[in-house]
Amino acid sequence: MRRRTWQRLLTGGMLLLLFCLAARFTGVSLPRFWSRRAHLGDIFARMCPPEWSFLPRLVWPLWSTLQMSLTGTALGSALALGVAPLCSANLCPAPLPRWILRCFIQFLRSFPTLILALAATFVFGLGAFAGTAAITVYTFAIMTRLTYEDIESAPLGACHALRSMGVSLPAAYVQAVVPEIGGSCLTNVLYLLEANVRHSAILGYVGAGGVGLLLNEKISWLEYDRVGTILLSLLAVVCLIELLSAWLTTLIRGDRRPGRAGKALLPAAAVLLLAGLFSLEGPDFSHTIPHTALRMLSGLVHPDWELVLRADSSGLGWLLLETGSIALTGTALGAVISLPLALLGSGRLCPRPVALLFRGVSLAVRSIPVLIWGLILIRVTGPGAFTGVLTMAVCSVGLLTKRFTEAIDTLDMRPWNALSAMGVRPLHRLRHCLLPQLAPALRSAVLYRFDVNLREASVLGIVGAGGIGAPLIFAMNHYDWSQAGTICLGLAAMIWAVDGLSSRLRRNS
Amino acid sequence: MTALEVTALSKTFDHRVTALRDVSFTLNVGEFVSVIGPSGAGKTTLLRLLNGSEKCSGGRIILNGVRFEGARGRERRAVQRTLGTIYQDFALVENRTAMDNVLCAALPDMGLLRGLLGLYGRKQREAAASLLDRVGLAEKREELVRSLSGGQKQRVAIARALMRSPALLLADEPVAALDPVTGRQILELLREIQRTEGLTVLMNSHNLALATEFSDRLLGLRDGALIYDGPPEAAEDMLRTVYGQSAENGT
Repeated sequence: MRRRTWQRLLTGGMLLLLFCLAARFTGVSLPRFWSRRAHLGDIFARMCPPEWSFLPRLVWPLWSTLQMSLTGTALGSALALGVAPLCSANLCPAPLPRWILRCFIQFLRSFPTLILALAATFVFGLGAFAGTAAITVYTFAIMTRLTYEDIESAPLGACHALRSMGVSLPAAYVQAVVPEIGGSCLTNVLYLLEANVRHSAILGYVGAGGVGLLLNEKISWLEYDRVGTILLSLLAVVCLIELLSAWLTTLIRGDRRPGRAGKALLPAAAVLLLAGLFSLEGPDFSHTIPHTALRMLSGLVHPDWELVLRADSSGLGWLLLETGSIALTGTALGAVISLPLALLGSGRLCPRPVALLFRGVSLAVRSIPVLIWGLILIRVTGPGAFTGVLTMAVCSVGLLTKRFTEAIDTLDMRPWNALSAMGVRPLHRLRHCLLPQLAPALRSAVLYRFDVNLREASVLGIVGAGGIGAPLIFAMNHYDWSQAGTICLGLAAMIWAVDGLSSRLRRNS
Repeated sequence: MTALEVTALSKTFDHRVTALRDVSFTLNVGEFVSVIGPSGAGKTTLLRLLNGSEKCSGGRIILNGVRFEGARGRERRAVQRTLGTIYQDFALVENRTAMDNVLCAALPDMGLLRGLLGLYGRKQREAAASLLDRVGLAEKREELVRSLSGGQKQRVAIARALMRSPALLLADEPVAALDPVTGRQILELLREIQRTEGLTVLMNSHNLALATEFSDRLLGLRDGALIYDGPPEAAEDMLRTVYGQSAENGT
């Protein structure tokens, strides 16, 4: 026990120290935030009342946003399901192709959708096709990784049995492994779909179609009443997707059988997907500069060493450090705020109306895209890394609260009831029964969020909230591929390092 | 001396499903009594009413001279502190150590802040350690519960229940999730502790043979009604009444 306690204290202390250093580095100053808190409502106040007459003009861009995310998620997941077995150690015996594939996936995983979309617009021209391509690649990278991890921890008895009967490996995979991992795969796809709806809402910022184009335009023309309309309609769409995915999740878990309306809903979803796929506008190559893709690749192979070696605040090391610090501080702040919100939002611990209220709040928070939060918070704390931290914190609150609440709602409550029958008071039960049981789920949710935030933090630069995004997008828009390539490589290296560290943290505890 | 007096206890769920009707019995101090009956007879409901996890729809529960059935909040917790319960599925916090789980039973006696910080006293730690020794887990004190076997988990649960030095120990199918050999060992341990400490135990079981062997008295439940209260020796006849037709179907 002594050793475990010491180890825990040491890890905790080191994390705290890291947090303090990162907070200092990003200029976190809560007094500054508090003294200027009145400005938090600035933009919201100007959004009221929203201009409802603008709504009809939103239908097409919203559909296009939904289309990008639906099609991209479906294509990416399908691709991932095909590639994942090649990456998993227990199905693919040859180590070399496996490692090459894994490195490739890990590299793709390091980029936020916005950067992927920007790159796609250079190849496929402006429009929804580029956005769809970006979402597809993003989903593919994330899903492949999650799926091969699932395959590696899945029981393979049935697969071996089929193989021993002479069934070919692909057939055995489809018949014996896919059913094993199907449930968790679908859960992951639904998660990604929700995330992708939010992502695709801002892809218009770089010209990749969807409602983001309008959002960007209205914000730069200061037409905030229209921005309000857009955000409300986005809230409605996100709400719909969440309801759908919650319903599908209960089906997957087998808690409920589909009723008559449910049975009609599944084909409807399929039709929607197909409609999205076939109504997608094709790529527009008319403005594509020849060999763009080749030049991008050559930029990756010929990094700009001067940028790497520069030691001042425009050097690669500094920028990466700032991005990492923003993500770290933001995630930590978000996690601390999310836990009580999640406890209040769980129907198991709180009366239903209270739980619904808090769930509504967290839904509203997460339906507002990252960049919009950035713009809102920049009014409060001015341009710089601190705004980035706050933005990351707010976005983490939205998503972590949801994850935490789900963890609480699927928890085994028998120990809780046992302590309750012994007369232990609720707060003590929370501390000694609920939290220890929740800890693994909370830890993995926070680590996952940190991983996502590292990428998100690298697009904050687009609104002036610090991090590596501004120089990256600047370099890409100026076709400076060797500089862009260098930054991309740096980003990939950082995400790789953090990934290794977090999987170690997960294993140790 | 009576430890528990139950009078005309009944429980109806949602005004429709009757789980218990008009159940009355008494437990004497130092008795080991088993409630037997087929699944769905209301055994678990009875125990949940007795430990305050569920509110009864009618009747009276008197525990050591204190009326319990209507108590709420602080008052209810005060009575619950004198109870220990062990469960079929152990109900332990899986990713904490055996010691931590046993110490949880000391929480009701601690102040809010000390309890939150988990600052257990030296006496409480010693008591928990000696209870773990008592149930034969001296070596496993610092192991995580999830790495223990089913029998070991139930031993931890017994230690946790004993940590409250309960006036009444309730056991809800304590061996149903264990293999026969381990189950017998657990019951032997329970019986031995009950004898030496003079503990009052009320156990649920659907295993008539084990219940007959280990109890001083049997209570038979069927469809929520008490249909037998007497020595285990007469159990043979009771088997037919309690289990009805299902006895012939190989139960």
